[in-house]
Amino acid sequence: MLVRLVASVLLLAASSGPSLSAGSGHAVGAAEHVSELDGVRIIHAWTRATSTPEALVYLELENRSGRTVSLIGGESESGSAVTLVGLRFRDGAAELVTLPAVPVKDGAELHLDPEGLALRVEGLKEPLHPGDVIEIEVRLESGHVDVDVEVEAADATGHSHAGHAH
Amino acid sequence: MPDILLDAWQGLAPSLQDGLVLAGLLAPAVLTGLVVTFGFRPLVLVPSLIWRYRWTNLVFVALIAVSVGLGVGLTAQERGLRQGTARAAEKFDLIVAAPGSEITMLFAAVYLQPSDVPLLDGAAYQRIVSADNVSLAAPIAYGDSHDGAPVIGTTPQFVSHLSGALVEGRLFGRSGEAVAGSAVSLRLGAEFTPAHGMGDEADAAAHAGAGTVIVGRMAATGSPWDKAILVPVEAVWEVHGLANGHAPERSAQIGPPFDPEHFPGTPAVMVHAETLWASYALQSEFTTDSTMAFFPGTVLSRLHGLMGDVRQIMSMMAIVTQVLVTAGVLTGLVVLTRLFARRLALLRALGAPRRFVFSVVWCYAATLIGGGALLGLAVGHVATGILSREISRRTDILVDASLAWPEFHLIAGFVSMTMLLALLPAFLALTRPVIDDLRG
Repeated sequence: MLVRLVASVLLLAASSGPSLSAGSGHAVGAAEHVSELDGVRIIHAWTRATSTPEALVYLELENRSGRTVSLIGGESESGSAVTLVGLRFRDGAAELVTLPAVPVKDGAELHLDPEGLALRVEGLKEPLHPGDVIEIEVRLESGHVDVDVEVEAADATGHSHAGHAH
Repeated sequence: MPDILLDAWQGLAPSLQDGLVLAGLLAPAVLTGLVVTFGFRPLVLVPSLIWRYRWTNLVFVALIAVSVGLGVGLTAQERGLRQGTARAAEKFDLIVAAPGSEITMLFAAVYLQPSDVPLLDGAAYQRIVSADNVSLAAPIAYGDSHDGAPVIGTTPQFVSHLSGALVEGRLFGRSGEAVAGSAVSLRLGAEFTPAHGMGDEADAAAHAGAGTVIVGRMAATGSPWDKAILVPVEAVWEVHGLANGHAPERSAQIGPPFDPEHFPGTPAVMVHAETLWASYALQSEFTTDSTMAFFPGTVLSRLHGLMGDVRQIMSMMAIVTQVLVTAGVLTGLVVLTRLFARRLALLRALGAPRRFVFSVVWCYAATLIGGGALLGLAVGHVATGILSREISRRTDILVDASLAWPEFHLIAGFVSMTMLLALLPAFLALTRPVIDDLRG
């Protein structure tokens, strides 16, 4: 009886593993490629594997809401802060600078791509490995959208599903 | 690396990080030297060994210096070229053009390597000018030339944006006037007639009668625009038999506002916003089925990113080349130690410990390597200057390369690696039979 009880507890603990991991902001497995809020779709969010405490998240934002929406930044349990950053060139050198918000007109798209706009996740609690999924809450002027961010290879240049229609 | 160390490292100033990396790379050489010379003063004998075979030693030092100098000169040049091309694109915040290749348009609008592309019409230009936060929207109309210099149609506001105050003369105020780039050979007051097209195919007679006089000169920009001649975009349209961008009653006007109905089209529009967020908003707004909007800096950065692996390969090849040259030099040193084998044998016969003789030979080799590396730094500095001038001359892009931390790291790694390799000739010198060497 005791053995069965111990076995049941172990089984339960094993099956709850991924959920615990997901709760801390990291998970491995299928991620949602599309998130939506009132006509604003966020597609193909991804980042690169890293062992540093900082990661840049890229995504595509489509605004079909009928009004201008502003991308402000985000939040994530995986890191201490999520800020919107853009790339600026000064004297031949590139630097990332924090941006207050970027408005996106109705019918337009905003692409956060390498060497351009990005959401910078600071203070990452764990290294990111290819195949991991982290969750971030993208902050728009009109509300928040939960987004699954897939971790690609450290040298990836795009989401592994980039080009697929959703 | 533990998080606490990683955090501490990332909290350091970049120059301190670079300094520590340099110290880490030099550490193997320093530690080897301390261990090899511990308890002895071998350096008192090294100057005499170097002087005795000074010409041979000089050749060895020169070989190391040239290989080190060329290696670091090339890696510094690659960085200088990247920075130079990025600097040349800095004034071009956002380019809006008809949908197509961003790279083709980057080369055409920023680096003045024209190609045939569809034009943006007056309606598209009007949407750009009317968009929120646009502080400058200038057409860039290329295709004509004079004596190899591209003749670009644009607005007076763009000229001011590109180079600031003119170093000579004034901005163009009517068709038939032009502002020359800083490197254009035409003087103020000189007249020319633009040719249709560029290069060997340019038709010098196509725009006969469109005489143009230079009325101003831009400050140097370090970009291909230094060799360009800027004219009112209205003049470009007029010499091609098109409307000049303004209604007939305002046909003498130069610069904006343009009338969409009389706007013949332009290959590209340079858009400037006062803030970066506004530029990104404009890129989003003008990425549509009928327009393409891109940041030249971003496209360039991606191109540089593609070259990232090439850069690593170049650095690796520089190290391998230097190590091979040094291996050759060290092999020569093994042969050279035969020349002073009798002196070493005499030392040992007089009771010098084997480790002392070992340290003398290692210090001798280390002195040649260290001297070669230091001289290589000087050769690299000179080579960088020569290569920069030549690349600037050939590309019209100001390349101002100089040796920096990556090159110092490269040399430090090279010195440590080769000083470890120098243990080999020192070992081999000890294996020689003392009696035979004494007999000579």
